[in-house]
Amino acid sequence: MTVFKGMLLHFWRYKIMVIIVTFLFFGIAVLFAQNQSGEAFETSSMDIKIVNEADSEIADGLIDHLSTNNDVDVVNDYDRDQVVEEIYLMEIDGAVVIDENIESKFVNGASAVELFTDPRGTGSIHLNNEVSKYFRFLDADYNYTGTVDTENTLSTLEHGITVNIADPENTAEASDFEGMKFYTNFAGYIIMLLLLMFIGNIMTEFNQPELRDRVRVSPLKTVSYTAQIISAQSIMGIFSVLILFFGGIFIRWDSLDGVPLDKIFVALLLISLFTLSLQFVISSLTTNKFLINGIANFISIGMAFLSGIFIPEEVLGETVQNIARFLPLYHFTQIYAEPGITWSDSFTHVTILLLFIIVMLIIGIIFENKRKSSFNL
Amino acid sequence: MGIFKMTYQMMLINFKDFGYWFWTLLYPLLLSTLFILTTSNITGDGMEDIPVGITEDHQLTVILEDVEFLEVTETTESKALTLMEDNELSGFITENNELLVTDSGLDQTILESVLNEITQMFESGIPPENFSFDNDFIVETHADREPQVVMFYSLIAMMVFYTMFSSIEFITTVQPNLSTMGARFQSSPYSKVKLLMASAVGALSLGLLTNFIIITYLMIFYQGTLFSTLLPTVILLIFGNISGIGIGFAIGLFPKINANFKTFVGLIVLLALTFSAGMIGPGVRMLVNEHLPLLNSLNPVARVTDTLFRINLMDNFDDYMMTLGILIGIAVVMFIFTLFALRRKQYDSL
Repeated sequence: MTVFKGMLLHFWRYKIMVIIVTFLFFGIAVLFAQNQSGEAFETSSMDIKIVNEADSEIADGLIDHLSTNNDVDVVNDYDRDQVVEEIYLMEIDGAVVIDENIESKFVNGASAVELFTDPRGTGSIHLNNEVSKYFRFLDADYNYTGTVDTENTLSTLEHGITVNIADPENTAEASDFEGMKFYTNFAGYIIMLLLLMFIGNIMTEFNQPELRDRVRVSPLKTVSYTAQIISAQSIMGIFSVLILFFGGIFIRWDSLDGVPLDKIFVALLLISLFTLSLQFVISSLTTNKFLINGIANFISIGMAFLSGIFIPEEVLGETVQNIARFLPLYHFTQIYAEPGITWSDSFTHVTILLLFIIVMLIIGIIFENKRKSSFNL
Repeated sequence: MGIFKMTYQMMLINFKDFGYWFWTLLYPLLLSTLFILTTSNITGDGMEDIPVGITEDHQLTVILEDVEFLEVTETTESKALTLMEDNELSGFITENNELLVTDSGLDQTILESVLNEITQMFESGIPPENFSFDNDFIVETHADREPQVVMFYSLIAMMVFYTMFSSIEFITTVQPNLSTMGARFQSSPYSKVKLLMASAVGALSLGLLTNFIIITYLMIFYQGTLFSTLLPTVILLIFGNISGIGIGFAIGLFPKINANFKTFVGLIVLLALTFSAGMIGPGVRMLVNEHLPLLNSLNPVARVTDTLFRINLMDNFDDYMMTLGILIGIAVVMFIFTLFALRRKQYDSL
């Protein structure tokens, strides 16, 4: 067990770093898991910037109206570039610039506000509709009574219809599932990245020619050496799976209805085993740390992009979606693809991932044997 | 050995390493290609009408059919539920004028708003002839969203800090307790400042070379515009590269840790900073800006990303000098720290 212990000691040496890095990426995964609850209908909130250049009751009424269901940021200084930039980068859904002469412009039926939105998004319709509605009611009241009464308009706009969720229990479950799904998707990527890089860098030290030559001339059998290495690596893999799995349960402990936890656990375990087998192939090919880091990064980021982990699958285009079907990370996401998924539904994807692991191990063994056969003292 | 020859030797060490080229050139090129392939459709092709179901012969059907962004279908509640589950309907209006949905979302919110307006008109007590749908109190300005550009800019921002890996390698190599070459340097009369400068210039030259290749690649293959002001962009990249070298020197100074692990630490930190700057999609950047706004204002990668975006796409140079100042500030502090850390060290045994 010397090699096994040696390797675990190596991991232990970097414990602080591993914990910091794991929690850093865990934090990003938590951000991915943000979603709303779904038992009752919730009016969608938009991020709106309002530039208020007026000191007017009409402007205040508009701000109050938009603030009812949206996150509104009111500023007085108008920086057009800043507004355009925030929309360009999707930091806000739209902006409303209130003209300083809003009162006189309203009375004369002239344009009183400027809206900044992306016409390709549904948010554009919503913002336009809400601002138009405010002015339409204010104008109708003005035409009818001859006075501008924003209080009356705002009170009229408080009336509304009833919105019912068809199947609240199912919707709540679906919402809980979506949050956990995003978290697990990202957790799969983290496991791939960290295991590939961390174990890859540790293995460069174990694969240094001096150390390998000493192992070769030692009475330790190759099978025993490999088993000890794989065992130590597996402990790291299981450790990372446990942190991320129970971390996910911890942050979403009150939103786990409809979440197939058993499938998620198996999926995380399989992706960590796949990563270790892939790592076996990479380390049997090279000990160059730049190559290891580059390959680890590209494989994990590339798979995550193509499998729809960072960007929703539906915006990726058909060709990219077809390519994704051949990637292990895609099958990882399909093991827990739906709230009520059964083992028979997941079976195909579990099998494909197992096949990926076996193939990688075979390739790794071939390269490893090739390297050994070229060994000379 | 003159400083130029030393610089040449330093460059040659990295130049001959295929791993270095894979990491600093091939990896960003592959990632750029991946971004080009996957992000072309990120903002969508345009808006579609919102499909809504309504019971047959409903009094609101005529009014709703006049709303230009709605696509109204007469159907029964049970059929509507199936259609909603298949995402073919966003909502259904019942006989009692209630809205039935299977999900909360923007489409459903718009439907709610439209139905609210009809109710509000009836309940306002204002005669209908006072409502005008022709008045135009709004001027609309189209501001397109292209959040995917941030992914390209953050990739470039990450790349400029890659010079840190050359300097981590170098500074670890010259430490006598970590390498035999370091022990030889320590006992030689060669100036440490010259050594440091040669290494920095070598790393900068290689870094800039890879930067230019990747920018040229993006200019040729990316369909939109990413670089409209080349000279300020190049100056920013140079400063970013210098800053990366400084950070690498500081990381490389950690005692008793080999270069591999220092590279791993530098890489992980850089990746985390790049993710929060927006490289894995606009979503994470927005979430970080919303929940941890301080992180991206202190994050040098996010700073370079934002400045690249502003000077090239917004023609906005407001924070340009500040970013250059921060980058060069980081570099100067790190260089001074490195020089102080390396000077007058004594070892019991080499």
